[in-house]
Amino acid sequence: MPTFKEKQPKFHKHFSVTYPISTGQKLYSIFVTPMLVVILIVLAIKAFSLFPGVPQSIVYASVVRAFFYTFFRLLIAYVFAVIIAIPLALLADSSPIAEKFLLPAFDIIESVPVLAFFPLIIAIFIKYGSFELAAIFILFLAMLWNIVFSLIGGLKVIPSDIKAAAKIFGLKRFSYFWKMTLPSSVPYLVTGSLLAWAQGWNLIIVAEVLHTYIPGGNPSSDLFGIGSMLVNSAASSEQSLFIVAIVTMVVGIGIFNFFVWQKLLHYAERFKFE
Amino acid sequence: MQNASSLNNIIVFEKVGKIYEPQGDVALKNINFKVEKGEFVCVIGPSGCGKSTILKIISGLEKESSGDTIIPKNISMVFQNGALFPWLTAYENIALGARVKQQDKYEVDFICQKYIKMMKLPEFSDKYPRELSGGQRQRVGIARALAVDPDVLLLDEPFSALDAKITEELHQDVLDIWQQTKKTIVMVSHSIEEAAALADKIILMKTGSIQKEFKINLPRPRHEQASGFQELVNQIRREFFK
Repeated sequence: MPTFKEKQPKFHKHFSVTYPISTGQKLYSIFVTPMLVVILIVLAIKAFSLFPGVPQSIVYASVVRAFFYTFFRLLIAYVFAVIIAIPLALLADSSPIAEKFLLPAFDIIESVPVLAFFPLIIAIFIKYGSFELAAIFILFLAMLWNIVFSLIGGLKVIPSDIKAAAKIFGLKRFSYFWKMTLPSSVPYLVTGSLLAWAQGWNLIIVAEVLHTYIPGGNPSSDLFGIGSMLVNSAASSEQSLFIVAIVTMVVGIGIFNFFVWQKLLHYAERFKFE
Repeated sequence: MQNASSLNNIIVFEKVGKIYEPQGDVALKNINFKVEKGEFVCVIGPSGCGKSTILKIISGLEKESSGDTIIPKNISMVFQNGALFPWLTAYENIALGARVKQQDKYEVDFICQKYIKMMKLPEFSDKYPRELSGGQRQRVGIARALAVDPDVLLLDEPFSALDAKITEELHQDVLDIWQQTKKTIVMVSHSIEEAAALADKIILMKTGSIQKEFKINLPRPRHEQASGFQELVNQIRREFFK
């Protein structure tokens, strides 16, 4: 056997280098974010203990469960938003003519408030018997455009010599997309996703409280989640539940930000062109 | 295409014109030249004279608007700023084209290791482009281009962003590679001295057309002090500024 065959080639190597980040960024990730998370957790505990009358374990369990219901609703909407956003952005970037027609169209669709469509969407989904799909669809619409516009911006700034190199070294169609376009877009996909999630969290309060859109509706037609819990507890003056729910949501988002977005933002650095 | 092809010519341009649509900018007009197999040709000229357009047509990135060309299928290119993928290590960048051409991963590894050694990169193969100096990046770019075993190696102002010492070293490396591999090289440069130090033939361009061709018979390595070198440079310079 020739000697070179004995050597294990270095395929699928994981990224192991660290990238230069500013002192400010370092301080932020080392101190500020964990500190915020700790403060939020302390606040949460305080909030629970403020209301001795509430059976804490039950409240805690159902509020956390509501948070995860909402979280997974957002996650499903997000996955669909990414799956649809990538081809839309690629299409808009595919030729000057496509860009000329699609960008203004996207602009118009994006600037129409999502909530204006909500009663219509609900009417359609009720026909098929699913409130859950109505909520996910509205969250999907709200998340989609942040990702689409961010990706289009990213595709525009891929250096022309990088595109030329990909073509010259034989990358075509899928491999061109997988090995060049997609990695080049990672930083923009991450920032677009961050904005999309922020938009999604904003909308859950409306998306889960469906009864306000149904003629003669009552809270029993709402979806179980942290958004509907917030609205309904406020409406029925259950202040303790309201505070526990809001603190849980803030802590949950804080932890998600620290363990997912901060890491992803840092990871995306290595995909940036100089 | 008639008349143009002799067995030894690997690249032929006959009455080639290039107009960039839709603006209608004329980049090339009536370009005629031939490159022989194994020849080292340098295209020089001021910015915007169309020299990069010639490389784009040879590489297939652009199509000529008029005229005839013979261009080889198997080419590769070294770019001005390296054009390395920042998310890949030096090794993975070098393997990029080789992996497309060659399915056997052991063979790809063998090829990559060969050029990593040739370009003096063994201790840098696991580094990412941003951890490398400009010269090291350009070495990776050259290794990546060689790893696909091209018939013609195109160099697009590869040393213009590097300091004098590194440029000198890389000139020597390119000459060594050329002599070892007998590849045809077409290089675009804006430096008269660089062209005179490296090439067999210099094509001087001005506003989209060829002003003059110079055949160089000086022995290599050519130093600034070598007899005839300065005269050659002066001769080209006179034409350049005409």
